[in-house]
Amino acid sequence: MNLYRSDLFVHLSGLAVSDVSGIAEEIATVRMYPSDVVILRNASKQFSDVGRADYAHDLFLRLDELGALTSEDRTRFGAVLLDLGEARRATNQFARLTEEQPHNADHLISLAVALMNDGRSGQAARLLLLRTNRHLDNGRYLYQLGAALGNAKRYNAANLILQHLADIMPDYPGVGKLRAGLLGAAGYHDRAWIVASMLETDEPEVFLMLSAFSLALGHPQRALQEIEAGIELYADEVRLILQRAQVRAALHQHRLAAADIDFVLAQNLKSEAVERLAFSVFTEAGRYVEGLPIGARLLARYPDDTAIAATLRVVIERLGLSPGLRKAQDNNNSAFVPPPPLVNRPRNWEKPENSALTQWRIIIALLLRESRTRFGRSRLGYAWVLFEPIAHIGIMIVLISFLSHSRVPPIGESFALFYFTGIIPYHLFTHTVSHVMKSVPENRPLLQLPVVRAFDVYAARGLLELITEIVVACVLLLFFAIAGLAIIPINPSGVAIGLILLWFGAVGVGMIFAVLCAFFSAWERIWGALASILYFSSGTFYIPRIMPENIRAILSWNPLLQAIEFIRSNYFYQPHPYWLNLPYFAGFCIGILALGVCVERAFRRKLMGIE
Amino acid sequence: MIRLENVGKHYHVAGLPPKSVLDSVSIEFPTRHNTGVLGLNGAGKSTLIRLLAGSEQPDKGRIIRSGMVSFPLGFSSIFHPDLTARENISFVSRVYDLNISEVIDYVVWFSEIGDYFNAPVKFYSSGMLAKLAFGLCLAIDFDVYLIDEITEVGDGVFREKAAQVFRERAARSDIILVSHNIDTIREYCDMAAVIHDGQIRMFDDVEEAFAAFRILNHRMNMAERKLEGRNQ
Repeated sequence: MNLYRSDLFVHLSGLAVSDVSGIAEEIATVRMYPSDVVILRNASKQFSDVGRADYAHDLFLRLDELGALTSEDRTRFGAVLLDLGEARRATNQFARLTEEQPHNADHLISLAVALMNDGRSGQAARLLLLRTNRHLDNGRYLYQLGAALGNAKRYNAANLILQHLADIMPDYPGVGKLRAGLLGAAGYHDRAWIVASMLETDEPEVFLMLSAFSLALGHPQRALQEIEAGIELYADEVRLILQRAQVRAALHQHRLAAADIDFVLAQNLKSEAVERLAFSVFTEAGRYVEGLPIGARLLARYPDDTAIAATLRVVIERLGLSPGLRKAQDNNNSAFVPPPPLVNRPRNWEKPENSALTQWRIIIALLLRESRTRFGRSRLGYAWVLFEPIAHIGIMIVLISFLSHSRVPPIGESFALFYFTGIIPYHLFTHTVSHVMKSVPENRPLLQLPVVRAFDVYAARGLLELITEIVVACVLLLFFAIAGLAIIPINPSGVAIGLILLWFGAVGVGMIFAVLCAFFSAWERIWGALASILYFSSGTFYIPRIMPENIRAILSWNPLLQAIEFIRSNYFYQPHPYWLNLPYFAGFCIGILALGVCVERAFRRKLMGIE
Repeated sequence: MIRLENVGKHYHVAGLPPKSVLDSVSIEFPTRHNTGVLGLNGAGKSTLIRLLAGSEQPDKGRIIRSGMVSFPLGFSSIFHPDLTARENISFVSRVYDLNISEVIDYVVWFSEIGDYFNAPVKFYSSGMLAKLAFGLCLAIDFDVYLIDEITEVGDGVFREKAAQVFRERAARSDIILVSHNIDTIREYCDMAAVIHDGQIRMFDDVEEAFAAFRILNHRMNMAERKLEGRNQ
């Protein structure tokens, strides 16, 4: 190959290709060197630059055969193919480009444009959407994305994208027009009309949009004025005439509308919308003979369209023809496929929120769960629950036997039973308070289960403590009975009432302390100290009878002391303790429970650690 | 279906101005659609999931649920660390009134944690915990599953199995899925919501939601850059 010559030709042809002789020369050169890539490339570039897409197309094909298409060539080739209306083939070219350089915005945009030209706007939108993150600064990219979304009828997203574009690049051309069109298409005709009316261009589309939006907003007169203004500027613009036909049809000027349609049809503008409009306008204008074939064509294409069928029937009746038409049928075959048989549905899957039974079930489930965690993992946990009161009683007995010479307890007949009646209520109270107090923080994960409510957790913990203490008491009583003590209280129901009242109070105090803990984390320690004070001030190992009158007057406000006195007075024969105030004790317990429920409700969010 | 009617939710953190996570939001998560949830960090995705589940109550407005909605499946475990998987699962089964052995059979099959099933949950690796939680949630035949950021766990075989079960469930029940992984949402969801600035915007096409989400990200980055520029 004569390189010198081919270079010369490249040079020469670059100078002269803009005129006819240049083109001829170019062709001659190419014919002379049909396999010279440089010449072919240069020539194809020249041809595509001067708009001779047909020549350029052949040269690009030849280059492709030679396997010499660079990405720049391919870009041009795609553009040429688009010029020639070969959108599908252009798509292939751009697709190959994007495969090679997946993040090149220009290639992506070209591919999207080609796809849109090929009628695949949805795909174009998807393509661009998938890669938006790299090109959010790119005005062209965003514009095309908006256009593609709009074409794909995704108005919401399109509007969002274009708004973003308008925000970052207020001067980007064409955005307003596109947005107006999208808003209109999305059904926001009023906003669309405002956007369109603020456009500063005189393009036919603007008049078209204004008129269409006015019509949609129910102002056909204004729509007519707007479209007339447009037609004054662009007399032969088919789309404007078509719009005028539509406006005139809305104004019931059917003859004029039909005249406009005649013009449109003469211009060979054919689309479904045109045909539908033509059909209805011709029918209204009484030009049935012209309307009939259009309507028949439409019905053949859309056999399910009842509106067309109905109009067509009217036309046929007017023309006196027999209605031998197939009735438009509504084959709505959206057969509901039932789901496969359910495996794991519960036995009675009720609405969980409003059923006492459900709540009870949940409290029981919590109780069972708490019973596993309350005592730790080891068996020692259970043993400790029993050992604790036994140790208390044992130590007290030993201590008293050293310190005092008395062999008779203050009331009753045995020290063990006497201490037992003090220590069980004390433990019931303090354990319940402690565990209820800590129940929400310790069970926070659980409260993620929407069916479990904070109250259920309190109730479960409280119940567990009550049950535990009763079991402990029964076991101890069994020991005492085996040891030969008279364990039966004189008034068992009184003892039970005392314990239950005390338990109510303990749950209430626990709920209040839970809130205090949420506000002051030190409260847990304060409660520890408080519990020790209670141990000494509640008459667990002594009776208030031995106290000086003035101190007893103060201590009898202690509800735990009241509880223990009440239980003991129902357990043993003793002179009536006149400092015992049952209304105060019962009122305190029930009142504090009510207060606890209220406080829990008021500070629930704080408790749940949400705030 | 879960519908939010005029729902508002605010948080007060000491020392900070009150933050409005949701501000009079009315939106519907429709039946027979799987919805992804996107949002910047701190936009309130997890709060939304907890509200949808009912683990939290809104400050105003109401949330209407039809069908049984799952508990939120996410980072925070519903398991008690001292209890075994068996005990934990028994508890949840009791709460939902399910046949305990059926649920356990399913979770054993799904989670593949073997002998650990009878060990306290606190000895589990985070992967095992995730498997267990995921298995328990899927064992229960909820109408709507609320999933807050499922992290990929386990080896390839397990992942394939989990994906298969999840796909099957996504086809039968509804799923509302929070994820940072766009591919996950793309795979399972046909709609997506973007939560930002107290508002939720629903998109019928996930790609649109991704675009909206990217715009948000982009704006935040630009704002940050501006701030940095001003500081320098």
